[in-house]
Amino acid sequence: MSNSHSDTIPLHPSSQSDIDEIENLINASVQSGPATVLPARPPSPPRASIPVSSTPFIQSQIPPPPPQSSSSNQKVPSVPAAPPPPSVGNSSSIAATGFGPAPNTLTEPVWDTVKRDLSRIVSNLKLVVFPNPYREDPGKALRDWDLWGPFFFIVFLGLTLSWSASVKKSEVFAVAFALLAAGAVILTLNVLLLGGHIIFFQSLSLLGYCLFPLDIGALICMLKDNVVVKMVVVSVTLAWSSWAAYPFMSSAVNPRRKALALYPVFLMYVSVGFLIIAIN
Amino acid sequence: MDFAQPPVENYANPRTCFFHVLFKASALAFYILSALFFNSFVIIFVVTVLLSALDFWVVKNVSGRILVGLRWWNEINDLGESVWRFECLDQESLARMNKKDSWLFWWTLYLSAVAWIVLGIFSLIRFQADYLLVVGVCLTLNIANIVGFTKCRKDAKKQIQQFATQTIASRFSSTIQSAFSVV
Repeated sequence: MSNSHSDTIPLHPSSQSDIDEIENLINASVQSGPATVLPARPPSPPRASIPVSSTPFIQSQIPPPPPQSSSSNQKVPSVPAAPPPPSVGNSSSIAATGFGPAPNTLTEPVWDTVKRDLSRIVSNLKLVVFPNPYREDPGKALRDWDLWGPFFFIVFLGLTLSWSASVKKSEVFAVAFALLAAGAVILTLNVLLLGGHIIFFQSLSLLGYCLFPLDIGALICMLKDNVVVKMVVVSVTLAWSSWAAYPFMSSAVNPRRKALALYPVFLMYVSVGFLIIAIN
Repeated sequence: MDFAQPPVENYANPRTCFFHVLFKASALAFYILSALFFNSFVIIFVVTVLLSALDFWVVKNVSGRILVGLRWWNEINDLGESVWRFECLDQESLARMNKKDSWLFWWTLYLSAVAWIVLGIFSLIRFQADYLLVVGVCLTLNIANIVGFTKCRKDAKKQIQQFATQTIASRFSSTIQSAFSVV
């Protein structure tokens, strides 16, 4: 039964779901007639860390794949890494939902995962904070949401505020963190209660990424202690943050309720701005 | 007496197991012991939450894959809806998973959540709201992983059963077809 072959199929990350391939191979093996082969997919490169015990049957279906440099990268990063041992088996995975392109990430090397997450943070940041053509569409704007970026930005803002404070450093940090985290959750709930259509985590992620300009503002204010400079910097970064959050929040709700959704966001950023100015 | 007993199964991935436990244990240890060394709440908060976040990442992306062959994540499809995806290795590979590895994985996952709950109760009793914040964040991360992997495991079992019956049924029907075509 091809089940025993199925764990030797190497797959390209962009190929279709493995369950498709397995089913095709089963159908092809069972039927003597022309097999129902799906349209051409990119050839699957082997994963260098996992031995591929080839069988003649598999080889006839999949053309010899070109080696892929990232998967042959056995570099062990400073973060925990354990190259997937041969006993784990190969790239067969059964996606529980649908047959959409399921990236085969179950057996990739750890370094790949780290790189993928880091590049996702950077691309999300660019999407949210800098002008780009997809800003109007909330579905596309932050498709691959992640909470790492927001986490780092909130912690960084808290740390910067805490550093700038000459007294009560711990309280400042705790207040800043709690305010931002709770604020993001409440703002999201606000939009949901107004009958808007957003996804909870996507919105949290967006509001976190929009803190990036305020992070920069807080950093500059920490370095330059002049009140006028602080006010100018904070107002500029505040406007930038609000501009970043605006399209996403406004397109999620009924047009008549736009102001109701946007006003609390603006309020939260203004309060963070005051916190930055007031700290000395 | 049977001397030819099979050797006790060892950990198949000792390094992954080590890291799986390392971040959990160091987050808990740092939180508990830091009061002896550091006066500053900020450092305690940042380091503990950072270790917890690293642990979350390691469990979700590395040890979940390697020790128990499961993985879960969230996607947003073209219609703009959020879809939770669960992934598992096929049944043969799952059966080949080291028992000790998966035992360690599940037990440390549950135990660390329980430990954080206990610490949370302590800080609640002492009315320390800021420490409760730390415990809350770490607990959230732990519970997210527990829920994700438990759902993944249940889903995996269901999927394997469905897949097995499906392939058996298709194989059976095509065998019958070929039998009839011969006749």
